Amino acid sequence: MKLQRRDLLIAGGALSAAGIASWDNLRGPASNGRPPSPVAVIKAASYSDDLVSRIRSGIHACGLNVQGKSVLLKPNLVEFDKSTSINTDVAVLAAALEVFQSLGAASVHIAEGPGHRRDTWDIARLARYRTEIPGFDARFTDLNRDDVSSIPQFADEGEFFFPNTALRADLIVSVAKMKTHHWAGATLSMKNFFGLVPGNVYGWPKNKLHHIGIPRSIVELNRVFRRTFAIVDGIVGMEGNGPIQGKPKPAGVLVMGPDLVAVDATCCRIMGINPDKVEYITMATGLGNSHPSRVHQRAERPETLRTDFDLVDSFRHLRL
Amino acid sequence: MSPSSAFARELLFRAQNTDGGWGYFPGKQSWLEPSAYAWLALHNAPGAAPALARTLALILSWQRADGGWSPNGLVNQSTWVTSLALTVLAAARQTAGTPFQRGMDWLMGSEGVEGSWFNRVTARLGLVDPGRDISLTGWPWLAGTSSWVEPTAHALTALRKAPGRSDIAARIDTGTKQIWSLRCADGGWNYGAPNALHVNLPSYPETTALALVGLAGSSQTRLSQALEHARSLAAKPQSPMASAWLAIACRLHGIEPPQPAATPGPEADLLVTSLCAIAEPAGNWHLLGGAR
Repeated sequence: MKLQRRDLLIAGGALSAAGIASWDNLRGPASNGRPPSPVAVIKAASYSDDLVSRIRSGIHACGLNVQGKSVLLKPNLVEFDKSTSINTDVAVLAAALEVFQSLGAASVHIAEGPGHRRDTWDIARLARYRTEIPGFDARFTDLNRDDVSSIPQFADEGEFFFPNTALRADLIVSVAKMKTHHWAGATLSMKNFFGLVPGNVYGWPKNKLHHIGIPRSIVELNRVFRRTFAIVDGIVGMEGNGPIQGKPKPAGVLVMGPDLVAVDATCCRIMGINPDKVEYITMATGLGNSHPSRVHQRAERPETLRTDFDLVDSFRHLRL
Repeated sequence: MSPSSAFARELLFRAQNTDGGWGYFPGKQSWLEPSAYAWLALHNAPGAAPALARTLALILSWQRADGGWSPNGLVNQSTWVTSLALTVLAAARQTAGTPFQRGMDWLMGSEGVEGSWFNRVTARLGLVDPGRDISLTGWPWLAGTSSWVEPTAHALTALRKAPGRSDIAARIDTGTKQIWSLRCADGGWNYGAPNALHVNLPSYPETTALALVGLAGSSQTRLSQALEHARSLAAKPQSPMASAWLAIACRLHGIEPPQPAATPGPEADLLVTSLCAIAEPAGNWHLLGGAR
């Protein structure tokens, strides 16, 4: 099988010796002295279920305190195609907003910087965010057109720019979608942070990240943004040729936790994917817990809810 | 001037930052992109000259030593916005000046990395499927990355404004061919990937229009089919951003665009406000065209 163009780009990035050295800094022993990570797996059969109580119970199960904090909800808003399930469902985002407001957060905003389309507000309209989330327009920031500040050192870059809205949040909640991904294997709470990279500096698509390498970029983004929590919408995910052209896959779950590595590893186990074979998860062991012995599952056990997501040929080896 | 364009211009005047630039939204950092479109929108507007002189001074101050422009005062790298700066300088009749010439040199030296020798060799040996014709190289968003539809379209617009340069014709030809090669199966354009894993990807209205802006001045016979596609898109309710770009593209190609009501956009979006003003029948859409 021929490699695809993006494989080539990734391979090119991987040739950088300096890059390999900095990856090693992120690797470490399975626990790295960290306490185990709580991950709540909550059943939700449909978007008409009471998602507010489910998200609230998941947050409580993970012991998250948002009192007085500025919270930023970061959905996965990519493109719109009514025949499939690309984006975080509006019901999940609306429920998360209601819950964080009720938990005493000082402010709750929503922000996203889609990777393909410039017209963020139109995707938000098509995904019904603007019509079904009260006050959405006033709460929303298009991260592709936000003011920016630089941080030192991102991969091999001496400085890298991020939106001020993301940099200034006390807590970023990755309200992600449970999907397979034809370049990364899976896209969950960690990959969702691609949307924190500003298009007004790096363009559409955020090709800089592809040249750095997708797995490495995912890890770097999660190294930069550490005050985080994840809510993964797996009520209806996407299988096959994700993240855009796959098929809807009902998994009937919400997966939540403060350790995004642990959340993504748990999602993989639910999807029938071996997280130890997902490159960005194995590269992120210095950032969080992926081994089952270091993940304290709350509510449901992931193995009881396993529903295998179809994988494209190039990722069939990921099957659990 | 229509009431809507008068309102747009009033909003732009009020939202200009003290440094002479515009943010994407009022009160935000000045960026070259919204500043360039605001400048184009207000060009020749009554009483606008002092404001536009400050904008031009700011844009000139953002030119870097390598001849390119950074997207704002913070980013220490020349990027695709160089094309927008050159378009503004051309509209300001400053093509004879050193900033314009140095900017053109930078733009001529900028190209996507997909056409690198390594990629060409591996593709020729059959080791990789690059997913596009990498002999056709356009312009990237920033150095070290691949070329894409929108920065290529803006570069073509800027290059067509360079008087008396003999070296640009080949780049215009290759960039034009690349845009055509990246056309989606549905007849429009997206960011620059007509398919993934051999499955067709859909086009977007705003990028379809931008591709056609880049192709203005092109004499390709297949333009008529693409323009009909754009016209059909323009006949449907689109976002303000897409409606504006579609109207600009249609007008540049001599087509009167349909004007259905746009879907609601965000309040005080200065980029879109400028684009809408440029797209008006009496707007400055012609400044984005092929002729200087």
